[in-house]
Amino acid sequence: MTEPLLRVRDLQTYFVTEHGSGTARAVDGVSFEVQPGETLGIVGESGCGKTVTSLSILRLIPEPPGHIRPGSFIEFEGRNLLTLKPRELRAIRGNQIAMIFQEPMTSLNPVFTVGDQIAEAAIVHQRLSRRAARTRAIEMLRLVGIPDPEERVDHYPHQMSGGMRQRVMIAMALVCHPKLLIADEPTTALDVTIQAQILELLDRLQAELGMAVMLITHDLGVVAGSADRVVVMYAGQVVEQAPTPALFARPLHPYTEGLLASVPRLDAPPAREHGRLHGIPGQVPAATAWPDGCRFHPRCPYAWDRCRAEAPPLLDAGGGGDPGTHTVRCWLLTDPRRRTPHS
Amino acid sequence: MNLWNWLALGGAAVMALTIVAEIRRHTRTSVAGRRFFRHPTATPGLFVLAFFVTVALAAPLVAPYRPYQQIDIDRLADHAPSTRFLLGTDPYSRDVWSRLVYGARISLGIGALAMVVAVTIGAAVGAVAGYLRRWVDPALMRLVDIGLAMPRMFAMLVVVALWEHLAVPVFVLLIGLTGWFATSRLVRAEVLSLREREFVSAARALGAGTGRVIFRHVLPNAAAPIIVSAALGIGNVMLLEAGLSFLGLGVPSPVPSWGNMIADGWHKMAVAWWSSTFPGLAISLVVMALNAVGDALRDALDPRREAA
Amino acid sequence: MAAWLVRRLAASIAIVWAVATLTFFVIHLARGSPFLPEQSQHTDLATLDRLRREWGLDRPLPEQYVLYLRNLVRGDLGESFGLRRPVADALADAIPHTFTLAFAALLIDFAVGLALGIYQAVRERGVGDIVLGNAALFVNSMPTFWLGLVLLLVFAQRLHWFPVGGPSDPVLCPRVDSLPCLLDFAWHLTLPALTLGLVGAAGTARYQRAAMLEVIRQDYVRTARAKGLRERRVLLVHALRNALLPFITLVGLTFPFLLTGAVLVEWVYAWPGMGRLAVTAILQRDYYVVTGAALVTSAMVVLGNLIADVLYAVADPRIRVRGA
Repeated sequence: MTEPLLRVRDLQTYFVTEHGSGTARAVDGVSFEVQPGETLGIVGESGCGKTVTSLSILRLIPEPPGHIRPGSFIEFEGRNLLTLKPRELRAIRGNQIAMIFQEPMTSLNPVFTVGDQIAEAAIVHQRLSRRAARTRAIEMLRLVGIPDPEERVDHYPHQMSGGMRQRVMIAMALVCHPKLLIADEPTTALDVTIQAQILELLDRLQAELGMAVMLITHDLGVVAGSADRVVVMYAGQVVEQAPTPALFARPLHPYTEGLLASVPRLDAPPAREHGRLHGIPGQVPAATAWPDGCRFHPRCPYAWDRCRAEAPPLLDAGGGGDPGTHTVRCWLLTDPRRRTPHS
Repeated sequence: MNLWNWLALGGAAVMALTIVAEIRRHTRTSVAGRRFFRHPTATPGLFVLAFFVTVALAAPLVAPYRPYQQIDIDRLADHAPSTRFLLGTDPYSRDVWSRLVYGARISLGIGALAMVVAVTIGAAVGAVAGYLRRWVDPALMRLVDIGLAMPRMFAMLVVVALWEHLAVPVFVLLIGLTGWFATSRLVRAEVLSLREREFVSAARALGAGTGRVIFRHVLPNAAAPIIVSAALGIGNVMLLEAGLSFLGLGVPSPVPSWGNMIADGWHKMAVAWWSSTFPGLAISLVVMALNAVGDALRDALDPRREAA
Repeated sequence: MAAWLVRRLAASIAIVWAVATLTFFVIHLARGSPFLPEQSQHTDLATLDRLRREWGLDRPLPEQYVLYLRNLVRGDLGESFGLRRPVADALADAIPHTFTLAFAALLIDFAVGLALGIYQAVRERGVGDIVLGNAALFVNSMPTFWLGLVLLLVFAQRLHWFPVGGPSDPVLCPRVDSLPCLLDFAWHLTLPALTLGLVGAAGTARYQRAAMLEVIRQDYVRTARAKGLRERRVLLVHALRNALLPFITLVGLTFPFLLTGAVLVEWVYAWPGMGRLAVTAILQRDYYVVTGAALVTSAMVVLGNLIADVLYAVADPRIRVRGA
């Protein structure tokens, strides 16, 4: 196995809350790896910590309320990102690791032209002249499929549609050909048809530029189409991790099962569950008060005493392939007979 | 200052502390209350206000001399602060402390009354404009634009110039009349968003007339900008009144107002700084407290603001 | 954009006209009829006659109103009986002084206020922020004239660093016609401008701190950091450029404050501007000077707001360039 591009070990990012409700343990011991050129999908509901995880990698967590705990370890191409000096970290941001965000309208500065914002990264990291950077910006706009790039380069964000703005964000992120692109819910704010276009674009660019992509989303459909491997997060932890086909064919964690079952299917038999949609009962708990034992147990159809008492570690699910390919955080792996739902 | 005065003063301070403590206790459970007191300047601000109001109300107990009393014009004019005259005497040998305390009644009173006038008119106009829209809204807002064009001080100067002697109630009314414009804009904005809410449709479905809907249903929900305007408005009025009184165009001497006290001591500043300094300090403290409380109120009552 | 500008200009003129009309009726309400000279003992018959003709003092009200407007447009604001000259002339002499005072105060206000506000926002909750925040709160709550008195006492009367008032040395520099006289003028201008400017700066700092904090929280600031930009560039280029927009709104609001404060500061420092002229006129029952000054001030405020609106439209591309 090649050296991973990004290695995250035991990442813990906590937030101090103002109202005295205690510390929010948003990310509580997350580990995963990203190989060069692969697409890793990170899936979970809101509140599971996936966005905080992605922000922690580039240390974009606002420091007063949040902090990355010592003992966390994030390694990029062999360098520990958490101990880098500010200047070194800046050299990586936008350059080797780039990030795009969910809301393209608010993530772009409204008072600068699109071209200026794209060119800025090139000027800062690659020392291009303003003219060369502008040419580069036009190239990038063309690369991401924006028509009439020579004209669009002088437009402002408010003059563009949502889909185009997201393309601009992608152009801005890729202008320095980063090795890793972190995409935090890149399509959530967009229409379904535009979603498909953006995902296609990301796929194409990834192939052309040979970069790795960390795709963060709550939408399983997005992950099914684009990701090579998937990490499922719940309550600040990784609960399942597998190659995409394996995850969809054989979901092992009850949460993953629940997520897959919740997706409405056009080919489902009509009389399914009295015609009602399947959902996971209960709600995501607050980050200031994770449940004891297995964090999913209050909502789990299979939970028994051990789940309430003891928190399971990530266990290897085997299933052919190298060890660690498919891991699950669930006691069912040690006790498969328990996989019968309570009535 | 004799012993009774000191006791009364101490009593006023204790009373102010108690008032603040009671307010804190009663608001501890509400979200707005907690947000209010999260501001470090909110509690001292409330205390300062409570203290000054209490002292003003207890003026006869706290002041050793009458405010118009010229004690000894030959020998005790411009006397420095001492145990007898806590803040010294002014050029007319009147006790500055006593005048300050009675002046608090005037300055605070004018501030509060004029603010009530301004906020009442502003809230009414803003609510009507925001709710009725159609032609009423643009018409009223043009009126507001006109009102905002002339600075308040100049409007008052014109009035004083034309009518010369103004009775104090008229003076107060006019200050209020020149200051409702900003409040009306704030209230209008709030009402514009409130009018789309379901409780308005519900009230109208019950047959409530427009006036009733505006004043019984919408306006109480627009309380937040009104309250904040009120707190900050008193400060503005006090500064305006002080300025006019300082120029000799406001509260007439010998009635003590913090503004005209500064004017009284002005020309002796070089030799007797206390006559002008202490009234100014008093104004600054009270306005500062009002601003602090106003800011804290704005944060506490605006549900859309997230704690920074 | 041009159409919008024309509309704004028309609206501004309309407001000034409305203020003038309101003033006309207020004068009429108070005095029975404008320009009935009570101080006729100070004025000669020829002037009285001229006034009667030009202002239609014996004509019905609507005619008086039309003549009033006509005179205003011609720049005739009436006659000052105390000074025995046209109001417009007296104001013309005084306005430059008010203007220099207000302008100097504005510079101090914005330079100090902006810097403080930005510093406080960047160092939010730090020691500097708390200390400066409370100091700004205190200074912003002071009566401007009281600060003036205190500064006069300390820096002019006790320390003798600055003169005790007036615009210039009356003996050596009755006119500003040479470099030493210009410096003398600036020396005289310092304390008054500081008085007005510091109180304003405290308010500006509070306002700008809030505006800056609001902007710093925005997503595009996070994007700028994610691009690997230096923090200084993130704050001073990406954040500030957006925080300047509410600042421009503040510029419009500052005009009334400066003009009001100028009245009191001019009085304290014996600065021969419009405010001092107006107050003196009140004491001499010369009220046309006051109404004239009030009208001119209103026009200045309206003009200031117009300029601020135009600046804002230019600065915010969302307004300047129409969206898709």
